[in-house]
Amino acid sequence: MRSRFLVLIFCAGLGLGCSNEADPHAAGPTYPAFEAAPKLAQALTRTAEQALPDVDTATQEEVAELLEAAALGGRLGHSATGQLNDMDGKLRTAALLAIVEDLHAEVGARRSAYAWLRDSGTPGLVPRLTLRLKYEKDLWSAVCLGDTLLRHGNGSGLDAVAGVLEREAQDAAEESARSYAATVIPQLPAAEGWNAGADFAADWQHLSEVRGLWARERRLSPSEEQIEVFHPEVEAEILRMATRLASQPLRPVDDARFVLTRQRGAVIPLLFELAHDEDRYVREHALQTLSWMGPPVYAWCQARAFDYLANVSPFLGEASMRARALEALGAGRMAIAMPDLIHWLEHGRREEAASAADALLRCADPSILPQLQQWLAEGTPPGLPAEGAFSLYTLWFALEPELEAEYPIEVFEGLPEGERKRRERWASERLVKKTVDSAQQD
Amino acid sequence: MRAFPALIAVLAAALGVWVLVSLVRPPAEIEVRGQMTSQDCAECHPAVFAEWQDSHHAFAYDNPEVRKLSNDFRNEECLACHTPRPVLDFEPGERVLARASDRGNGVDCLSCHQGPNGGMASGTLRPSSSAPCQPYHEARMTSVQHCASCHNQHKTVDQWHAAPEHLKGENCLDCHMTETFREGGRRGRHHGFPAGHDKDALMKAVRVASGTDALGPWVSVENYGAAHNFPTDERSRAADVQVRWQDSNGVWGEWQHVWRFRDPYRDEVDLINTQLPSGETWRENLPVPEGMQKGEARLLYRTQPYLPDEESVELGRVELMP
Repeated sequence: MRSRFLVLIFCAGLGLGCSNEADPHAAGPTYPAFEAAPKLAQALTRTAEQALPDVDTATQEEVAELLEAAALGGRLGHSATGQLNDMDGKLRTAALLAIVEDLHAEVGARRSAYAWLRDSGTPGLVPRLTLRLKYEKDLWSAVCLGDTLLRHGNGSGLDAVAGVLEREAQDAAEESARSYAATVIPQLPAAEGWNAGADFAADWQHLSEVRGLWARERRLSPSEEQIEVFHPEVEAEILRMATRLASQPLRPVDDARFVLTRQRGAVIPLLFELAHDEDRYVREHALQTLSWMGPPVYAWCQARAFDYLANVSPFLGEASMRARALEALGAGRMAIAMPDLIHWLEHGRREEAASAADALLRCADPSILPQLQQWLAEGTPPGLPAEGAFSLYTLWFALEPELEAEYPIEVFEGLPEGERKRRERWASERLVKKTVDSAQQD
Repeated sequence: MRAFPALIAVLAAALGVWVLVSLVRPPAEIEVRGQMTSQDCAECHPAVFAEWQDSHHAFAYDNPEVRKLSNDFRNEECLACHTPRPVLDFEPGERVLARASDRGNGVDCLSCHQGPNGGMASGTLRPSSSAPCQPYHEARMTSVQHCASCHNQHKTVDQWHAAPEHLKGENCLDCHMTETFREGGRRGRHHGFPAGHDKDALMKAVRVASGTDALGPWVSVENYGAAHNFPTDERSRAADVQVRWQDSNGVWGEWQHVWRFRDPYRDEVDLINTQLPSGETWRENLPVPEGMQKGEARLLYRTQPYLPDEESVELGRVELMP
């Protein structure tokens, strides 16, 4: 009894002793508890049967030989084509992907494999083929990538198609790529008043519009519904790609981010699932991927009535994830997030304050103006890094475009040019959001 | 009478609480720094700060060569090590993540010194307890694992592990943070981190030699001082052996390429890794063109493979006698 009494006194003393170190965030918003779990492993298990099979070297070589023989034509070519057609679709797709990913594969072999993927690949090819956009240097192959992805409902390769069309062909190979690129345009979703192939200027205009729509909303036509879930094969391959987020070497991480940011909006709930993973690298990169996706996040959430803020909330309560969560809020570009962002701008640590200011630049509406002007008049919140200060000024200029004001010299020069450009891009994306909003009102 | 032992116990407990609180909290008169930046460090450590400002760590984000190679950091993977969050926030040797603020500082004081609880980690065994930055001893500060978080991305720390024992020293600090005496006789480690951008450091890593044997003149390059490959780290770094000959009229010919030390980019599939491992020597006999009376060989170091000769650093030049 007595010992229990002493323990109580001891604990009370400890409590008093620490009471002066009050949590500065205690009076702030409250969030649901964050819980980590082996989410990625669970998801991989759940989708294992849908994933493309692993291909051994012997199978890859066998398929490469069949491709070579098929290209010869004649009886041998006919037989090889038959054998390729008779293969299990997923196994053939996986083997063809292995060939195009092989650094030692010749351009000719890659072209054949790309063509077969285009004509016979199963949907699971999308994530790995998206990654080829980062590495493929052969122009014809790049066009084929764009063509194939388009056939599977992904517009990430249209920039490559446009790039080849814009380029003046230097030789026969480039001319061939250019001719091929021109044939991709008629495959674009139809639009009112557009007659495919009738007039190159109109074709180009339509291609530009589709590229713009894909960049803003990750869909190919205004009449197309935003998908809620991926084809099971695509989902399985996206999750396999996401395992690279945990890599210690950085290149695989960047590869995964490259692919994940170029998928349709249905990737958003998957990223939130991964953001609860037990591996901190998977968690952080999953949230970061949302930030990098930018405009499509908002468009998809609006179309699917997805409660983005509720999904970000648990990460705001977790100190180790907060800065990334604030950035993700910015990507969501919902003004409803402003109170949280203002709180963390004023009460967060340096990194959090910078992320909150950046996020406000991306999502704040004009109701923030009085608060914003007060901050700027008082010399920005104390401890705000140069990035945050620049973001607040950029936001001010974006909200009041008629304003004749300039960045204070110390704010402008306090930031490297690349960081200034990043924030100017975010400011320009605010106009994109307006376009999405007005399109949805229509 | 029975209340007396209880009173003693209560007083003892209160004393225990006081001692504990005193231990876990800094003395009241010390102003504890909250949200520090690296610029704050300059107040008390101006000499160290100045050394760092001149280092490639401070230049890690602004370096135009890095910006070019990283596609102006559109290759986001490069950001993690060129503007890292505090390394001590991560498990030993595990990679760091990029920070969102103060990116212009590159690899700054906080990247290496800020501890997970806000205090500043130091390799010093008994750091000053009265400093506002709350310094504390952290054994990891002097371990190779501390550097590995970034410098093993290109396998330099793995190379160190495989190096001959007599070249390894204790850790990376032996060569890259040598002991220095600052104003007032204070002893410390130099924060200039001399490495691939420092000619003296490069000269301590390799030496060029020449001689003549039955097959004619030869040239060699020995990695006698680096406890990792030469060159190391980024794949862009290269070192070339070149040779030129003088004819009987005393006229020197053009420099000709003999050998390149370099780890190729992953898509340079026709090339192999020719970095010179620690402690090893490369040697080659050079055929003497007819009519030449003597020759010269030199070793040029380039921070990127296409750097012109005149912008490269010459690490040694030797005479070749037929």
